[in-house]
Amino acid sequence: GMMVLFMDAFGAEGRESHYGYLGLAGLAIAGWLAFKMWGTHSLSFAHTLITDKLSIITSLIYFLIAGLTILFSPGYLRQEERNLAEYYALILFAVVGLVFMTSAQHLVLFFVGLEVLSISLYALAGFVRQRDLCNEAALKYLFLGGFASAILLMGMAFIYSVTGSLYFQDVARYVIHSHPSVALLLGIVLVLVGFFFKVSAAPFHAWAPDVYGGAPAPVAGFMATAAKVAVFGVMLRFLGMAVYPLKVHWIAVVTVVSVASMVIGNFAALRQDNIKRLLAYSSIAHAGYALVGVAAASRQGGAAVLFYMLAYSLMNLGAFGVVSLVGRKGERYVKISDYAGLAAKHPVLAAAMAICFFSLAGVPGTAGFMGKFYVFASGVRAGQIPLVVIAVLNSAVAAYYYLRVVYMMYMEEPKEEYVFTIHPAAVIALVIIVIGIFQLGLIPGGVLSASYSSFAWFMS
Amino acid sequence: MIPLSHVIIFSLVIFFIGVVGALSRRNVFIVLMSIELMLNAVNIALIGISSAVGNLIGQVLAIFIICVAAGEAAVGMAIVVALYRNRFTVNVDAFNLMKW
Amino acid sequence: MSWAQLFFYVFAILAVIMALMVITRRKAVHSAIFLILAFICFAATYVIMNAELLAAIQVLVYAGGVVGLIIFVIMLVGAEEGEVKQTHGQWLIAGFVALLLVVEVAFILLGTLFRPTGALASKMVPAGGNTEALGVVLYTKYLFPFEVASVLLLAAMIGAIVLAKYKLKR
Repeated sequence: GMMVLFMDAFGAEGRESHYGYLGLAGLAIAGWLAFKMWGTHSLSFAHTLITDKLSIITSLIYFLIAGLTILFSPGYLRQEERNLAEYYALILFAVVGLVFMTSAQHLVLFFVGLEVLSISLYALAGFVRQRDLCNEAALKYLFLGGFASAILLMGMAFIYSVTGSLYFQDVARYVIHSHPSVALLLGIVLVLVGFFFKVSAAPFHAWAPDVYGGAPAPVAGFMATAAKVAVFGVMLRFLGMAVYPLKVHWIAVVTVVSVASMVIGNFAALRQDNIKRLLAYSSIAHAGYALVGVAAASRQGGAAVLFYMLAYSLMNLGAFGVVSLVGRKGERYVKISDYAGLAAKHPVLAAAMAICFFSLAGVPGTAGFMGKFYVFASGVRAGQIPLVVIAVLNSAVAAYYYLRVVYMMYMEEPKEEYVFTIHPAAVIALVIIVIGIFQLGLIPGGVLSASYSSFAWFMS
Repeated sequence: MIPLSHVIIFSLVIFFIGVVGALSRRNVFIVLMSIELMLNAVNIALIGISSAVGNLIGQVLAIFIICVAAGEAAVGMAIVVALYRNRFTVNVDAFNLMKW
Repeated sequence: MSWAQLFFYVFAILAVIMALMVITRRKAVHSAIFLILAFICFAATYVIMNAELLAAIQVLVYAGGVVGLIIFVIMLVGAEEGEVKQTHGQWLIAGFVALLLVVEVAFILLGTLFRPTGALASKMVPAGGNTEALGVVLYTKYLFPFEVASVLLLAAMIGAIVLAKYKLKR
């Protein structure tokens, strides 16, 4: 409640990008408040909202992501002459939606939070409205978002029809006591389909490349990271708390989707020449890796997924941030070849991009490696050996197309000179990201134990 | 009275009409209307179930769905207007700027 | 077959026909009008399933507001330039996908038709009618999602303005 009021107050409409920094201040205060509430485990608002460790961790991750996105935005928006404060207001509304999605104890609150997030993202995706790509991205995102929500709701209706209530505890109580009827299973499958749509996992990933490719780069970064963290958080809470006894059923579904998204994500990315679409496919593959942790269905699995999501968000945001810088006006330079010889001209920027891509590929010592390591470890411990083997093979394939970009930057000689201004805020963001990647990569202990404890009380 | 399964079958039929409409038609408006149809089908199912199960949670969710659908339609129309300003067509398949 | 049941089936079938018309009409305006009729039939079925408040909301918000907005934008954008003959291929694929879904779900549901939970729509008319009961629940147990829904509408408004307003002053 407090967090929301702070965010809303600072989300006021205004002019110029100093509202961005105001938004940033709002996020910082909200983050500090969330950190202060770390220990509490309370149900509020008639059991619909729960503030336990999981919701606090995910809230902190959102504040971090939103803050970094805001840091990347002023330069980008001034470049596109769309420097409106509504941009920051919409991002803050999206954060409001995110916070309530993962701290929802009741499917109604989760749904409303999801829609707040989706609607603000529809508007943000089409923000630079002069560009056809942006409108088309927003339109496609709207269609598929509406489609996914309808399927998700149908699933909720079926679950509601069997259990008579939409509280996670009531569903859990029902599932423990009685033999699961077909309608309940159908409801769970439909809800999972809704989740997979939002996370752009394999069979439902068609929208991701187009929407990420079309949306403005900082927004695409925000979409690719924040929305995924939220949906994975809710998936863990829903599967772990509400329908945990039916473990056998949903593990099979999750495993299949995980393999599919890894394979499709990686192999499709191999022949991409547009860097944003390459990042879109890589995010599909990363959704697959995270699903390995979900399929592990254990406390380590949950903690590994949370850690992986944090690491993934950092490196993905960094990559999208650099793309927004290099892409100049109207994002014309998004071909991979346009990055040729970047290192010669802008060594610092190229280094930051290289670190992000190394981490995405999972080079040891970076956050990406640690994330993958923990997810695969939890998968092995849960007996998902074939799944982990496929995952490792896939990440080997993935390494190729990440390193291809790095190779392009360092080895090729620059075709033409790079003229773009780097906004100071973006530099700060890149510095934070690089520090974060190495901190998580080398000393992951603190974050991991925190995320482990956040699953203490509901997953077995 | 009306058996619940008939209500659910009725809502599923409407749901699949919406699915067919959304997938096959190429006019933006008809696709948006099909999505509204799908959300309404869920509403029917929820109201039927809430009267069968006895508590009102279904109808509360139905109210929120109506609210969300209205918001979505508003943003959808704004996007269509913005799109129309850039290009003078609203056929969905005309937007193939993004090659695969 | 009490009157209520008869009415329910009449309106249900009517609604299905209207929905079919919505997706088959060539002109967008025609399908919008059929959408209004479909929503009114839905509202009628809500009343039979004793959800009067929702029936009123449905007619007001959906049939009046949303479809009104859609028709307004259809007029503005003039989507009447006629649709190019869509290829039958696409129609078949969509039809096939939908058919698959229908068969699969119907099969499952038929399996559960004889569920022990007695799938009767019980005649449950709470005291003071549906509106009061719904109001009580909405403002006590579900106050918080209600607040979040208000944030949602605010975000939708800002989004719509940002995307569509003609001259965004500096």
